[in-house]
Amino acid sequence: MRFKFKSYTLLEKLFVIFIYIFLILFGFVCFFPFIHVLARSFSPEFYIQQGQVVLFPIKWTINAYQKVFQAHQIIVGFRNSLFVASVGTVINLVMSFAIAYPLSRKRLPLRKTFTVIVVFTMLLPVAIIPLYLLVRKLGLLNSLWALIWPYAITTFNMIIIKTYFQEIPDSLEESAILDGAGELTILIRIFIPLSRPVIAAVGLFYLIFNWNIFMPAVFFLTHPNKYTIQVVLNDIITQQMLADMLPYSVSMMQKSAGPEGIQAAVTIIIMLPILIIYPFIQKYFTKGIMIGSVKG
Amino acid sequence: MHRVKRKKRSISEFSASLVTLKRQIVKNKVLFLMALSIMVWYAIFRYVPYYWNLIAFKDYSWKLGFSGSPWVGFENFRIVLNDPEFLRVFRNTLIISGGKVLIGFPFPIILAIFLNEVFQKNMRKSIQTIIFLPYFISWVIYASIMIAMLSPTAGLINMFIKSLGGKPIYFLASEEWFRSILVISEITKNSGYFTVLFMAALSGVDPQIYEASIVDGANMFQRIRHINLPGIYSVIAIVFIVRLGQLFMVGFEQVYALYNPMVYSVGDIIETFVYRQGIVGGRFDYTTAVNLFGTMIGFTLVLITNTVMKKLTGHGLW
Repeated sequence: MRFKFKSYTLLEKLFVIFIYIFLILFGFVCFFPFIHVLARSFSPEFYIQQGQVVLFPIKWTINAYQKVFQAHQIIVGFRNSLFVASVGTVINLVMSFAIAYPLSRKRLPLRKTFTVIVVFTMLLPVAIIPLYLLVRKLGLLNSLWALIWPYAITTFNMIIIKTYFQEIPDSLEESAILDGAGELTILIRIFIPLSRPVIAAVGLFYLIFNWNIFMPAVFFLTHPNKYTIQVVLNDIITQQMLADMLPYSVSMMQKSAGPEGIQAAVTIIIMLPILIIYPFIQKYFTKGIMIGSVKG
Repeated sequence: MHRVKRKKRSISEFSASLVTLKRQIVKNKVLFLMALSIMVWYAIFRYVPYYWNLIAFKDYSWKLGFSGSPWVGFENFRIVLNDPEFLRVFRNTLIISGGKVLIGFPFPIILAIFLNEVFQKNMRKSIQTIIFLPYFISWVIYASIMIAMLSPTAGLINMFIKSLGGKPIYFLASEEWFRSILVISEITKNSGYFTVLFMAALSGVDPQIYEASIVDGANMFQRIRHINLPGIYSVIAIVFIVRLGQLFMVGFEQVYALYNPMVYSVGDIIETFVYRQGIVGGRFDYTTAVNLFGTMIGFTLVLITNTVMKKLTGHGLW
């Protein structure tokens, strides 16, 4: 329930005004850099270097975007990231269903044992060096599958699906069994259609995870042909930082090729898929957090 | 005599339960096989790496493999603790992580309490939407945005400083600034997540308590102090304990995307050290020991804070 501003005392009113100013300022600090980079990506290099671009582009141009789509390494990075995001997310969902469904059924033999094995992995994160050795042993080093198989299931996401499955009444399933339906039919025909919203939510979480995956890419991929777009962007910004460290004249020369605008354009393009699905996930994520906190 | 009898009975009970289990498995074989096949994944990609943590106690070489490499006891840990470079990295990790917990932990609580006092639903929602967004962006993208702001040649902030007649500061290559930048960017990027978490907890506070407080004539500050904060104590306690457990996980992606040779001395953390020494340098056993050391301290911290928190507030993880 909310309170009326009029009914506040002077001190309370002042405090409320302070709260508004504080929140708007913080919101601005969070949001402004995004707008600024967007403005940069549509501005000619000269004006960026001059520091004239702030909130809006000066002399609109899509030059930087054109250059981005001509750069070989960036296209390779995009292709690899699209592969990981699409194939990875499908595998994530299939594997998560395959374990969430049995775990949600009380008739599963050894249900407690399975649950303990699974939940324990949420408490103890896997160390990166042993995982690296495993990936190497499996021959996945320098393969995009190294970003997919070790991360095929995020146990927290799987538990969200399981919790949802548990709320589906047994009666539906029992009548299906009487009709002679097998487990897979029950899962595909009854459980998955009934839990569409939660599947959408978890699917989007997985999609974002796969699109953003970075640390495993740094550890497991060394060949530029296998770089994901995140690694490519990291290379670009590393070069930017190094150029900034050179003496001024040299760094200006290096920058005349227009990397500021390109960097901004790449950043915006990589962000785009997330910006598009953000409105959908925001709603679900709050729910997911609620489930998580109830469980915790 | 008596003891033997009981033993016999327990064996027969055990075999009886095995028979029922077998019957259950046969009855639900597809379901059971589904679960079992995913357990293969958990075994390979989670439990094998857990087990391979033991190379911290071995002189590991790739040729000999895990089982072939000889055990060396605590030798790797002795080297770790006597390595001046590790001690520097350890110190950096504690300082950066400590800063993140000290400022980054209370900040979202304040944000959530403040947001809760905003009347207009639309405004509350839009601020929440804006501050939650950066959480979903990868650290690389965020680093790229930060460089657009902070670069000494074309960064907006330095342009501003220059226009005022000041000297540009290279924030990301400056030993004084680098750690502060890490802490601040952690707050602007990830506060939204925790704010939403605390907001969710706040919305769970019973509205009847609010109504009662109006009748009793409580003002806004009393309401915050005596209703809102106590209402989310349990969530605060849980988040605090979990964050302390991650004290040695500063965040590889953030530091790796932002650091450069100029700031290794202040910005190098356990995770980047493990990457350089382990993957680039090939010292697998040594870096696993470093990792294990951090994990053990983190785990101990969780145990201690959980006990203390439970004594003080009655809330804990378990």
